[in-house]
Amino acid sequence: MRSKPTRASSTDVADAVGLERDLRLVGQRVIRHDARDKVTAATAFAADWAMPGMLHGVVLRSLYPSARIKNIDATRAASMPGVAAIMTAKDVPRNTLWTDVPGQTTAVGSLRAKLHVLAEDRVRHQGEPVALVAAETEEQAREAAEAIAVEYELLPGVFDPAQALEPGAPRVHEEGNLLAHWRVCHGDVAAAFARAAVVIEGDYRTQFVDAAYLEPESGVAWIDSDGVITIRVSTQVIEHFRDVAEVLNVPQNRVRIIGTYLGGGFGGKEDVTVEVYLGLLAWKTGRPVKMVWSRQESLLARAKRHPFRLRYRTGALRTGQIVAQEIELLADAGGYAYLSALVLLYATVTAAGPYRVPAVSVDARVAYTNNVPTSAMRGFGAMQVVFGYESQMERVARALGLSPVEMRKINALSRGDTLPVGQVVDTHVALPELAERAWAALGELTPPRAPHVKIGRGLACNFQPYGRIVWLHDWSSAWVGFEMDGSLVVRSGVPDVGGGQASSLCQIAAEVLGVPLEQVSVYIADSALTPLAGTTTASRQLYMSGNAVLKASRELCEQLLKAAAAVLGVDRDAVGLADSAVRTADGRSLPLPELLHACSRMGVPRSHLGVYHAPAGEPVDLEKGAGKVFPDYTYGAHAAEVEVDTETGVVKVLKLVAVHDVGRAINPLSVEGQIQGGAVQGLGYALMEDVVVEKGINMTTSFASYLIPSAVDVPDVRAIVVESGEGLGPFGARGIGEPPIGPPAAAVANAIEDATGARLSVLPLTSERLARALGLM
Amino acid sequence: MMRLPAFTYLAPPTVAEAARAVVEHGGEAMLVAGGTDLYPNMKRRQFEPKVLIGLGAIRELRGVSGRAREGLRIGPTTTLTAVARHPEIARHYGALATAAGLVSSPQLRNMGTIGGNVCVDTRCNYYNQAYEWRKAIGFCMKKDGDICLVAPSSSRCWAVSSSDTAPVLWSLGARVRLVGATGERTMPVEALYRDDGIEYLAKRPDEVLADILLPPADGWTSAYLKLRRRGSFDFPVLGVAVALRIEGAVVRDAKIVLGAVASLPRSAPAAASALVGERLTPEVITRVADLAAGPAKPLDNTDYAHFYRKKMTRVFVARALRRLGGLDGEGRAEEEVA
Ligand SMILES: Cc1cc2nc3c(=O)[nH]c(=O)nc-3n(C[C@H](O)[C@H](O)[C@H](O)COP(=O)(O)OP(=O)(O)OC[C@H]3O[C@@H](n4cnc5c(N)ncnc54)[C@H](O)[C@@H]3O)c2cc1C
Ligand code: SF4
Repeated sequence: MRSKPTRASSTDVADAVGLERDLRLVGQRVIRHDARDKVTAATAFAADWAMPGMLHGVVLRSLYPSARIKNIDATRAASMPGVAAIMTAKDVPRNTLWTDVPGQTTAVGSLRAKLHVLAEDRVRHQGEPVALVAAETEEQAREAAEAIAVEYELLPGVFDPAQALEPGAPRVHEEGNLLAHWRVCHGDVAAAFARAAVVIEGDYRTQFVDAAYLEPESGVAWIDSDGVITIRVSTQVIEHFRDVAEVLNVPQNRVRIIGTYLGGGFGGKEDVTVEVYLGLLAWKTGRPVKMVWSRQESLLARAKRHPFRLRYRTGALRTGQIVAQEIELLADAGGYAYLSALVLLYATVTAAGPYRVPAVSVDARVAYTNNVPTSAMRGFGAMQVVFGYESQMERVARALGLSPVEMRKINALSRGDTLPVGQVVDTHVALPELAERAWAALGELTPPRAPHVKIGRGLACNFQPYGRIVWLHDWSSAWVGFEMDGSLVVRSGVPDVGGGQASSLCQIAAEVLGVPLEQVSVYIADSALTPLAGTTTASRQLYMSGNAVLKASRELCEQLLKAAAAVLGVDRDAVGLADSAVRTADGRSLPLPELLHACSRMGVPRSHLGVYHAPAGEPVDLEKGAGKVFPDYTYGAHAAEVEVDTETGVVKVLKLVAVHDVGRAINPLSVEGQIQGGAVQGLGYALMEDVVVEKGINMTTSFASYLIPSAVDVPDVRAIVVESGEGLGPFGARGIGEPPIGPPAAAVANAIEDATGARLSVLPLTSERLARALGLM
Repeated sequence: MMRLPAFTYLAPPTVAEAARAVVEHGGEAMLVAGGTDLYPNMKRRQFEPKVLIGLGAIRELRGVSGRAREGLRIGPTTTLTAVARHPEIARHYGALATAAGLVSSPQLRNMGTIGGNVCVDTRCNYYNQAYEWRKAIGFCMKKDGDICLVAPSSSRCWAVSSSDTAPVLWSLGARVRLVGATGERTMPVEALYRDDGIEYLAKRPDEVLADILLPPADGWTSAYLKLRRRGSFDFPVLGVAVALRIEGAVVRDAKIVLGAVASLPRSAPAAASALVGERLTPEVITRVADLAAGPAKPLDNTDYAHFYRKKMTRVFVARALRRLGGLDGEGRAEEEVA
């Protein structure tokens, strides 16, 4: 089951602090309990749940991207067979949700963004929820939903963020179309450009993409015997019980969310999905209700990754040193705010890349349009900008005749440097080593298999924040306790999105408390029964809840060892926990169950609740460059080798090496899984994924037209795990959920230029675009 | 949204009974083989038959018989997997094995049949969409509406023939036998296709495709190249089928048929005749490839921009010819574009 660790330990990370070496479980390639359950189909996903008397709920969605709802007539639908409830906006106790768009630095000022549970008098994007139906069967519910007559009056719409910001553009919301505007001004940019020997300008565009998780949005809700509205749902955020309570206008302690193991989240299950609708229908009918969104609905209407227009102007000295970056970002929020303002903030903070740049200006805006809404997705704004800054790095290097690795080495951040927003980098940055290793691991250059084929290589680095913005005062909690027989229980409200979140917590607790992994049971993601742990987003869960479990376990260990010392009549320092027993320095041992019985006789608790508070800070004025925004960052470097068919423009990625400094790999198998999965998702972004939206109409609502890579379209990604021990998580870990998706697009674009001399600046990097760039048509 | 509507399923034991059953149920009935094309279409409500007549139970429709020397008979419910793996087909009608093996994915090839592939529905970005989607954008004439959304001034539908095997069968000179309620007929496979995105088959609904007949293979070699974005799953957005009879390095007979560039497979007779009497030199190949691209008139209603598909026609024809002439030396198998 457990093989020897074969990961690359980074003894070459120069000023890394010492890694704790004598660990028993942490760092082992442990096969996760949930992996076994998933491949044997034992996992009960949200849609697998069924209850007696259960209804099926469906959402009726807007046909049009911009229209007024003149009338909704549900009389015929209500009388159809099997129909138990039909709800429209007027049936929702609180239909309008307001969210604060955080601390704007400029024009927009503080803004409260509005979201309707169900559309009221108008719809702002195709697929916007308009009505709900619950019926005895899903077919009946769908038929009834179709029979609801919605009378629309089409309104002019706006489908491009630049047009949305022009005077006179149709207003998506009354307040105007500019949703958020962030600026960074750092150093004297004009003077820096005056010093530059080369100035490179680039105009890049990225596309809408979908999370495309295996498991669409789904859940079951019921009113439990205690009257609590209980929702078992696939979500990254069990704290949405508060949103459900707000919508239903009931106290927050009357709603309970049970999170399931997810078939993928990628940010798409960070906002509320089915849970509010389920809550409404269960509350209205008093019966259990299931709702599973179809793939079509999910592709049609679920929030996507923001398309960005990225304009870069980069100045460098002849030595390769970047002296100035002038950056303009414009993103498309679609019809509603969701998390757009924060996504833009991440983009703004990271726009200049993991480099030491003395003068930076960033001007970033995100605008409402009548396109499908955009929100969180793996990488969260720090991802689109990688395509911009790493394309620029490559072009500067080419202009100066520097190798890709040299270019990164010259400019890489290091401890003590200050980011453009004023944050001082206070952990180790292994970027030069990462770049070197990624590049070297490509090995021998693949010889071209035919005269019309060219081979090229590209490098791209990135940095991605992990943990939430420091002024959000993030915290997590976990409970760790022994049963009388010495088996261990971990409880923490962590949603496991498939990254092995639950399993890593077990490893940490078992490590500290000296029990085999098999003796740990873990309960996660229940807002009523597990201590709240916050969202599984922002690459924060191992960092935050790992620390909470670590803290709880260490304190529990201390508690038990004090008791053991008393029982055995020795000093506290003379006892330790190992192999399910207390061991003394003089070779005696006391089996754990005996100690636990002794504890209960002595009134010593056998459990502990640990609460971890992340280092907090005050809100930062980005423009003034005032200080810390994120707790820390994860750094990475990807190297790609591509084959370009110069007659067709077809690009095949032959090799991809992905290297990340994860601080410490709690379970290298999970880490490699995250790196490979993220890199493949990043290759999909690079080469083919594209939600095509034409005048607000989504053209790609099935997997026949929304193309994600299949097994034959990607190479075996070589994941190299570097451990500097410099992270803020348990045992020095950093977050690795999001980072690996960032670099592939730029690495492939850079490799294409290396092979052909053609620079592509629009994603995805399709063969048509390359054929055009190569002058084939 | 995407639920299979209710229908009655009949499984007649003979072709004659299947044909009669279609007539009996009037416009309500459709034939189904593997269902990999029809069922998804029914979920999108592009077809709404009340009765499905399954061909799976009819033994006479299954299997491959004969020898390449005299010609082969392929039963239309033979799965694409079986066609792709059949040694006689792979050796003597190489392009057919290639094309069958490139259809969608292994799972679909295990269910999908060659008969279904010959009769597969035409495709269009505005048509292969869920019912609600089509309703939102306004139905087009292929189903439920009366205009064409790709070419609004057009009085016909331009949906695209998207079969991988149809152009190959045509290039190989295959014939098909149709059995209807009132009789049967045998004709060249190309006579089965009409230049219309809606009425794309020149056969009555009750006519069952009963045999696919390949002529003797002697002296012929063939190749099929497929353009699609991914290495699996995707329908062709361009297919190039080339069959040549070469004697002593001179082309004696040639057929070039293009798939997925029109509502039916398109042959390129001018290009083919330019090959006859020639050796496959680079110059000849370039000239022929240019000629072959002529009949390709793709519209913007599938994946890839139409001008790119047109451009690639030339490249693919040249590659197929290079391969058959042994000029490519690169030995990369069936597919150029993944
Ligand atoms: C994801 C996906 C990808 C696909 N990719 C491809 C691809 O790359 N290339 C490709 O060519 N196809 C593709 N297809 C379409 C389809 O899978 C194949 O064309 C398959 O060969 C159809 O065969 P079937 O037996 O399943 O046909 P069915 O669905 O059973 O029938 C298709 C049509 O043919 C008629 N029919 C079937 N058999 C007969 C017969 N013996 N006589 C008269 N009429 C008959 C039916 O009435 C129906 O109209 C794809 C489908 C999907 C869902
Ligand atoms: S070509 Fe025109 S009529 Fe035919 S399916 Fe497409 S949009 Fe409809």
